[in-house]
Amino acid sequence: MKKIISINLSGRVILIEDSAFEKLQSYLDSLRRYFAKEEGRDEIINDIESRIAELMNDKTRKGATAIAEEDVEEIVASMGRPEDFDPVDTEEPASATPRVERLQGPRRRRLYRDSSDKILGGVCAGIANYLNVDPAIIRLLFAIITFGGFGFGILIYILLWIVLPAGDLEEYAGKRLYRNPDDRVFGGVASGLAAYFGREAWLIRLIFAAPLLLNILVGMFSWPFFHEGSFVTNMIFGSVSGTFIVAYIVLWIVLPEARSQYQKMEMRGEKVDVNRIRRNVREGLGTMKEKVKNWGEEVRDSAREFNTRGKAFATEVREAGQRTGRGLGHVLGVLFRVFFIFLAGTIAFALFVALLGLIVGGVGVWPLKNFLLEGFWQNTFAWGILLFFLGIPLVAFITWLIRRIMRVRSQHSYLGWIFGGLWALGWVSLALFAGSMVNDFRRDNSRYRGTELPIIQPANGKMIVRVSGPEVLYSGDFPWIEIDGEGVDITRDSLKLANVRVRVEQSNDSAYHVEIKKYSRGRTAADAEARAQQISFNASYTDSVLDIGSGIGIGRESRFRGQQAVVIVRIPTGKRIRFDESLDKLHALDVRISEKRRWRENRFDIDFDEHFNYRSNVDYVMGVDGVLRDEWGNRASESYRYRPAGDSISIEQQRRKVEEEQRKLREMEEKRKTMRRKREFRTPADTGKAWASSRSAVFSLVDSWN
Amino acid sequence: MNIENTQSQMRKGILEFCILSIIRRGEAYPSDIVEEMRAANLNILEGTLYPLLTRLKNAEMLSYRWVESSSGPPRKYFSLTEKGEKFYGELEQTWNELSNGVNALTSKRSPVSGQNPDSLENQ
Repeated sequence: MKKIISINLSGRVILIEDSAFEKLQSYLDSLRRYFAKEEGRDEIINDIESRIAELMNDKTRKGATAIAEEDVEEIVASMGRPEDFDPVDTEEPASATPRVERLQGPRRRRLYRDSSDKILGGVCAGIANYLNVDPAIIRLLFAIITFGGFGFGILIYILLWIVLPAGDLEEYAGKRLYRNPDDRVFGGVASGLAAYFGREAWLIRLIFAAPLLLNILVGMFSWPFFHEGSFVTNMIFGSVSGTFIVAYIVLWIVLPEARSQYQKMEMRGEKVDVNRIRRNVREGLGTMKEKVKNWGEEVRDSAREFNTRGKAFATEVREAGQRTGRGLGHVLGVLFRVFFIFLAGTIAFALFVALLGLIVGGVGVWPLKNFLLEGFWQNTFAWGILLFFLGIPLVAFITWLIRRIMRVRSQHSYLGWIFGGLWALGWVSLALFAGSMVNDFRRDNSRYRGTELPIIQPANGKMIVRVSGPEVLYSGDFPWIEIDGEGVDITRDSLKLANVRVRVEQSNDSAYHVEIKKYSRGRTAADAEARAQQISFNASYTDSVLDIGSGIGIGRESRFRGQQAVVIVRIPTGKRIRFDESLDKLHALDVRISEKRRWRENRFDIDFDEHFNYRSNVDYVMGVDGVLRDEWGNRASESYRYRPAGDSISIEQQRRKVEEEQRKLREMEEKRKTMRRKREFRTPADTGKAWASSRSAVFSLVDSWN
Repeated sequence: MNIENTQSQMRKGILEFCILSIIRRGEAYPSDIVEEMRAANLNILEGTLYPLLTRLKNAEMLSYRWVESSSGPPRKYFSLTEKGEKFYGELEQTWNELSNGVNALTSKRSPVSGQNPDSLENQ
């Protein structure tokens, strides 16, 4: 099936097949390019067009319903391709290049700003012209200096902008960086670079591959000897090879492929003129190349169209700017542009660093994942988030920026689709991950009872609570991770948290009681309890001193699911308790999901605030009302100077009451919900809300890990 | 030394002359010119011809008029201007000189030693 369109060629309506039309267009474009410098260019093209129209008309009259590809080929053959034309022109070069000649004389080697090829002020293009290299390279170098040198490059740039005179310089006609499609292993980046720098392709390939090979070699040799040390060396070589791989991929995306003959010659730095092209084509590159070339021309055509549109827009904008007054408006416009590009560049650089950090850091923090992710799906989703949700926008933005710098016009719209699609995949991973995570924190084991620590009642009616174990500090098992703050220690196999809480209650009888409750969250209450049982936590009691462990140990198998240990001390009325200052070693944190009344709105709450308000080394007495007071009658949760105005229920109690109430409500809601879930399907808005809220949950979770 | 290059150099000079001679015989349409050239075994591509005609026209050697055609858009028919006529006359003279000289030169059985190539133009 072929699409037939009707075109108007020189006033004749012609039916033509779609593919044939494209062929015709690319042919006419090649002519336009060939005659670009000709004085009567439009007339020549018009003449040729009307001749083509005539030939096509003949075809139709002879019975063809529409012009097919073969017809166009035949016509083109009879008209001749540009590379087959006899160069009849004798005076042609002089007509088109007076301005170039003006600058080509003895002043050739002066440094100018190139006003004909510029992004900002044409400084880079000017330097490139002076050094006779591809402007894109100078631009990339400048970008690196600017971002690597904290804006140093932009100062140099502005300085040069002011100092250098503007000149209309000859367009760069030397080598350009391309990917080489004829000699490639992956994307032809290495051989393209090789062509640019005039080196052998294998050399560039070796440079790209060396860190990776070294990495593997080092890994192979060092592994049996230093199991631990090899990790660091792997990290170093790994990140270097990673950088090279990233560089390769970025260049792959950024660099255009040298498709047409013209581009290939640009790549090799051969002087491009029509005779050269003709010779190359004749040198047996054959029809296949011809087709590829036509395609390249098509692509370039669409790129040019885009270009003109962009230019028209830019002119409009500039005119709007100039209306406010040439001088000031221009300066402001320039400043704005500088600012904008600088800003965009800075953001891009920051993102790039973030990406590298993410990759390197991702490797570093990777051991942590073992304490968080469980099962195949959570791991998969986590990878999805890392690669697609975070990685893709960065890569896309950097690609966009570098392409902008390299002046590669949008050739592949599919790139955008790919990026978009992968990013959507990232969103899906994120949602699924969040959902799975939320589920894992949904229930706790609060309905299971803790274990009673057998104690001998303190002789003098005073119990002392102390933490004699060493404070949980980060032991530096992973040298590249820095954890500020105390209370977390992580090794390859175990996670230690100072997540221990001391709670004081009134005893029901006249004896002290100590209950150790290992707490965890999980998918179900049973799951939570199973995890809780795997917590290692010790407490001992001797001579009226309750010595509790400084932290809990969580095995890799049970993962982090908000585990903590709660030491509940029940004090009989009138008896005393004293908290040693060593209790400062404990850092309690709570992870819980509070469920809102309506819908399935979940929220992760991570509390670092310590409910433990008792001052150390002060004797507290348990009152009749179940509140601990010091010898001056101050309640623990209140500040020193505050004296209670005789209210009967303590704030602590009120709070507990409220909590109790909330818990009941929650349970009721839970029941109601399971009922409802059976009755009806969830509405889409419902799920959306669940997604949104679960996302924030993961963010706050991530925050807590940071 | 590139044979193609030399060939095209040789052709280049006589192309305008040939075209002008065809047009001189009467108003001509480009594709007629191509046909006639082909018949004379002097192949020329239309893509080469059109720019040449435009250039000659811009140099006021040629003028054209539109003629409606039954098989397509109106055609440009070219004819020689007075200036073109004069230009052609000069070219013709040069050509005669050249062809005579070249023929005389190339048809000789053995080369005459000591002949100065410059004398070709002085003849």
